Amino acid sequence: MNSPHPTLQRFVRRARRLPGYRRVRRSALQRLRRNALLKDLVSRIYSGNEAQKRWIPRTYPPPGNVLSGLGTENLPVAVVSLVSVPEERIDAIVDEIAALQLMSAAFRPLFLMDCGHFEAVRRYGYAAELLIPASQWQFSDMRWEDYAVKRVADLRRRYGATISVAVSAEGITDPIRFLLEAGSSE
Amino acid sequence: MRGTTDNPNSDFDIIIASDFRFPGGTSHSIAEEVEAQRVAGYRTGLAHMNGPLIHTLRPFNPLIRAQIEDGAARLIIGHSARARLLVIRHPATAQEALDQLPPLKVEQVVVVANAGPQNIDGRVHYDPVVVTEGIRERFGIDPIWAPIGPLVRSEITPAIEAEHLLERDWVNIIDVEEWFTPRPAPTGDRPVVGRHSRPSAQKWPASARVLRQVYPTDGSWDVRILGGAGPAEDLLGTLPPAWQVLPFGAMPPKEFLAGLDFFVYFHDARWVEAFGRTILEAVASGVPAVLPPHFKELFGSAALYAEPHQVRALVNEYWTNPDRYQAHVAQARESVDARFGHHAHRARLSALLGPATGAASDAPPGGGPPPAESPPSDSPSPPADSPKRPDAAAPDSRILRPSQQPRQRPRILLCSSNGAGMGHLTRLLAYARQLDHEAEPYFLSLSQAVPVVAQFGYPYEYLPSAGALDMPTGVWQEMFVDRLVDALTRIRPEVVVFDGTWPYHGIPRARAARPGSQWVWSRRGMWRPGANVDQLQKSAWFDLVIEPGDFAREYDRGVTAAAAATRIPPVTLLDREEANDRAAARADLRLPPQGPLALVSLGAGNINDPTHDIGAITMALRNLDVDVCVTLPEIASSSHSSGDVHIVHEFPLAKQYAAFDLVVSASGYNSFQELLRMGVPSLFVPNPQTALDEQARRAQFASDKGWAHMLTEVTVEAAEPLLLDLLEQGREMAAQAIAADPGNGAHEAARIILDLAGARSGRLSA
Repeated sequence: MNSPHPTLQRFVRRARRLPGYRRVRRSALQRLRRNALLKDLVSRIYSGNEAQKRWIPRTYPPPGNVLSGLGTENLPVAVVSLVSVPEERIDAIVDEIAALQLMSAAFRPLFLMDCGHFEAVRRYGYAAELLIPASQWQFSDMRWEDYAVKRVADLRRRYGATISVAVSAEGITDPIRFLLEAGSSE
Repeated sequence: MRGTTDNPNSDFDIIIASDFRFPGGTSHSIAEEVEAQRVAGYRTGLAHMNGPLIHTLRPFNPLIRAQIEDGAARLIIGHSARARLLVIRHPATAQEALDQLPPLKVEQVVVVANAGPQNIDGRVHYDPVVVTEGIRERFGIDPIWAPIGPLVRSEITPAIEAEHLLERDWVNIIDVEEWFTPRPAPTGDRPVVGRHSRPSAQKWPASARVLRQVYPTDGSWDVRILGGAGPAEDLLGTLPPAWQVLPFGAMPPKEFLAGLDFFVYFHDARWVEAFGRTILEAVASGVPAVLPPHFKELFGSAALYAEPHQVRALVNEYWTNPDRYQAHVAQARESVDARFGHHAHRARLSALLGPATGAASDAPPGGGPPPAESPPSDSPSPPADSPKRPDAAAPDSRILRPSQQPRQRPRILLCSSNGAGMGHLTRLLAYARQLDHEAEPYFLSLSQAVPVVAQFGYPYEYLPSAGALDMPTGVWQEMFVDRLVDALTRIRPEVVVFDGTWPYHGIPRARAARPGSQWVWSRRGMWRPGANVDQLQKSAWFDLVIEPGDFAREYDRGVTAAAAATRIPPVTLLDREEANDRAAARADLRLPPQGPLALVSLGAGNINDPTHDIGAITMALRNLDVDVCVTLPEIASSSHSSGDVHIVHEFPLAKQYAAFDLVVSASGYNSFQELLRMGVPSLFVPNPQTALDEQARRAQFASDKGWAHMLTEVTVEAAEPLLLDLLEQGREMAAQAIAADPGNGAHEAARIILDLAGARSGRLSA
């Protein structure tokens, strides 16, 4: 993002020296930050780059509870598939994703699972979608593969996901890490 | 901050808790300490708190992240941990965000005060007394305060008892070997003087006169600035041509410092620079540092000191005398190493902890939590109260595969809203069990509790609610319709049963898109009087409305009481004959076989705090020598140890009610009907927070009938006599409810649903 004009910079610096500036700024910011409409508007206008300006920020899926601060609605949505991951590994993998999200502040995950171990994601306030496991598919007039493709496409569209990764039982690999962090504006 | 899981690999010597997003000195110092601890063989865990000083989304400081990913420290997230020492950096973060920490068991707590309680504008960032109290409450330990330098020490000393104040300052440390750059005496035609700091106004002199005294503008010195000079430009009107100014981060500080003859740092005299990481980096690099005299107590002989008007003379004195310059460089290096080297940190840790217990670098590389290794063979078995997880993916012989077999039985789609508890889902499950041999129940739920139906062998799908997604209702309704239509297309149910008090607007659209199913609204009564009236009109969306009965129906003053519906007896998942006896129930729950036991199921609260309902009940039961069991969610909401309280996590819990001599419960639909039908001595504590369910009238009915007791304002004194009465007469009271039991309404509901399914099949085949 370009730096503000030097004149504006000078004005701001001088304003900061005025008595009571910090108190006034703090009070004003607190009010602005509580205004959901304004927050949404500002997010749309001041997205991180030109590509993001065309992006309409979404409040969903929730960013979870490990991050804090303004801007979570601008985080790219990542579909994180845990399909075929054994249930006993899911807690640890979700912990890994949460740690990566906390350290990078670069994405918000939407988990796609084929088992109902929702406690793993609920701990962090993440959203999850359930895919019927292939082993329990019982519909003769549709192939499971077609259902799965359709559901993933629906998730990407509905949640505006720009990243999709599939995690195996081994956990997060470097390529997955790179993909998840690629959306960071930092 | 969040729910946690146990992890057997979470023992540390030291846990550092702070806000790891700080971009500057605090994070750099933490990274240095982690490295020093790694080399010394201490095992370090890092626990993050989102503190109040950072308002915008930020990643971790890259130096800290590197320490985590290199394995020098482990990030504690999602699990509990233990340590001999907890070091909390930044008291303001501790004051505001201590509750975000995962459960930590620690033997000592040190609070590193790296700033004074007040900012330059008088804003109070933290109160040492409040921070101390918070830590005492959280960890049961009085913290030791460790100021980062003499200025902070003088600010916090009045608020801290002497025995809780570390004698020596907890100064920031630096790897002197890493930073030091050998430098000959200056040889240029004029001194090269520089500074490195962020371009904050408070980090620069506030007057142009002082500015010119310490950073000459006349070209007599070569002035180099890393970090921007906007505040100086404001004071001077323009940047002097003789200055070279680079923005913050334009080059590595070590490289910048290597090019200087002198590091001169003066700031706004009104501001208290608690430490000054950039000063430490300068003196560690070997460049003579010229500072205001107030830094002398902190940096001692590692730097040179002068008032602004003395700076020019001091610099010239050393610049023109190479021997003196070199002598200062040599002794400054010794001094900085002694005061701020890694060994200084190891020494203070050793004083607190004794020697390290682990080998250096024993943490595996990689970010985040420890790997989910298999527990060692000698690790304890899962606790008796470990939650049982239904295995949704396990094949179940009861699930028919229509793709392989012709469809013989009607399929019933049981659809529940998310609700506050498990009431909707449990009622549908009760219907499903009675439909079992004559239909194929299939669940579609907005509740994340839906996997419990897999315990009974039923297939299920999950549709996240608008609340779970933070999704605007209008957007979610579209999603609901799409998903429901998709499910109807695949499942092709003969009957859809919706259990909820607020049928979603998408239902008529889904019906129109996929006609052919009969729709039933399972709508329990006991709504608050006058509430939800408009929802009744939605009865028209359904072919039939079933009202699951309520023992307390005659106390129902809600709008459904007089509305048209097919009324059935109270619905419960289990019948009395399906429940375990006392011995089997206690064995199943791994509870003591003997002695009085009470179950407390009252939602969130602190079991050790008598001002909470659950705490008051627990205390009253202890006064009566009754052991206490609580359901898991209550414990999970508290950071305190469960102590001698048994934790129960079981579904359906009704099967094990005989384990308890009495139950203290909210009076939601399911608990109320179950406890009365099972004949359990009960104290009902109605939850007044429900949106629609009038729990108080239900409890009042049972109390008026003499079947149970009720309590609306819970105190130890009020609860104790009622609990004592239940221990003495509760069985007789509960027997009266059993005598009034009209039977399980789930049987009748199943018959009605099957009739509808048959009628629909008949119409289709006609």
